[in-house]
Amino acid sequence: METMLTARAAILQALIEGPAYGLEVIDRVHARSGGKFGVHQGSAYPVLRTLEAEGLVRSWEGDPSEARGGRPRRYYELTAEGLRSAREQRELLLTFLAPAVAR
Amino acid sequence: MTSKESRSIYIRVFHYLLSGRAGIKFLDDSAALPLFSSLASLAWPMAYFLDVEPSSAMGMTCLALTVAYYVLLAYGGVRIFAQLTPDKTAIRSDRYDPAQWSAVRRWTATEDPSMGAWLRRMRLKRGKRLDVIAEITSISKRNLEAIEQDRFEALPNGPQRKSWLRQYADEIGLDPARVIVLFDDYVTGGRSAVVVAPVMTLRTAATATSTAPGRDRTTSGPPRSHRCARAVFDALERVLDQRIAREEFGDALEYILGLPRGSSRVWLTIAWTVLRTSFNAIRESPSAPWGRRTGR
Repeated sequence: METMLTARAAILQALIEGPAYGLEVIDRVHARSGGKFGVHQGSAYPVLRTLEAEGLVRSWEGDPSEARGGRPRRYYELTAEGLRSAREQRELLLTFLAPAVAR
Repeated sequence: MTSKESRSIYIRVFHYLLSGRAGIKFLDDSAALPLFSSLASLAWPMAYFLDVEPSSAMGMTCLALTVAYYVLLAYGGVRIFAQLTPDKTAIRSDRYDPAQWSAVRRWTATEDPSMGAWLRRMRLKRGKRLDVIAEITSISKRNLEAIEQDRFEALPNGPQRKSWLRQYADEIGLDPARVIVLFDDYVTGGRSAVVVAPVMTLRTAATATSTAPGRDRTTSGPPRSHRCARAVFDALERVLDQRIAREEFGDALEYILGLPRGSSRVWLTIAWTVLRTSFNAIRESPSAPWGRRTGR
């Protein structure tokens, strides 16, 4: 399905719900769109790292687990700047769609 | 046999010796073995330069030393092959002595809280010389001394430092992945019994699955595909950017564990993850595969 959502916007919106690690972010995006839109792993991780480099997201490592081969999960959370950006984005999207709804 | 014919034999054999020389460094258990192999590898060229008749007693002695050298090479080859097989757990339990990790507790309790000093004690316990490690790993002795003297700030920052630490840990018989976890805690100032606890838990879990006698691989532990994926990811993690590899491989392993057993998606996921993560690591850090950042 063609969509106006980008992976970056979808991830920012998914993180409004709270901290999540990579797989969880992908699942959230999938669930929020009712399974019609998904972020591939190939683009999700680079986007998360870019958002972090831009200061919109911060991350930290959890405890290592055997299921992950002794590797820790890396959790992401919106910073104040990221939260503001996500809200602005949401409002912009709703404003943009408003005339279509009125018609 | 003419002198020219015997020289021709020597040159051919010497060529094989040179081509197989690199394999000997995998025989890492003692310093004496590489030393012997070096001497043995010199026997044949010495016989050539001294123009020893191959059928004489001296020639036969040189031949015996050469044969011994080849046996060592074959043994090294078997060891290399064993390390490349997907199920690395058995090799790991042989290669890294889990008992050494009890020293972590002693380290945290000791008056000298330096991680470098602890690593040095581990090395001495293993009977490894610093110059030998420097030669095998191609890390300069000065940098190895910096590790042991706890001067981590003297090492290059980022993946290079961890790459060296991994190689050093591997040479002194400690599991590199766990040393890195410990190191991360140490440099962030979180060295304490609480922080070390996950490492100890990891060790216990790994020992339980890898060294339990008579374990049944088909019914206990993670599925074969998961172990295989873990071996592939562990190997790749050594050369890729640590942060990217840890995150993406960790998530992929967790995802694979959630897939039904025997599903073809498992193998597709492994292949896709390897390609994707390698691409990301190279794209985001141009010189990541050889562990040196050029900065951006």
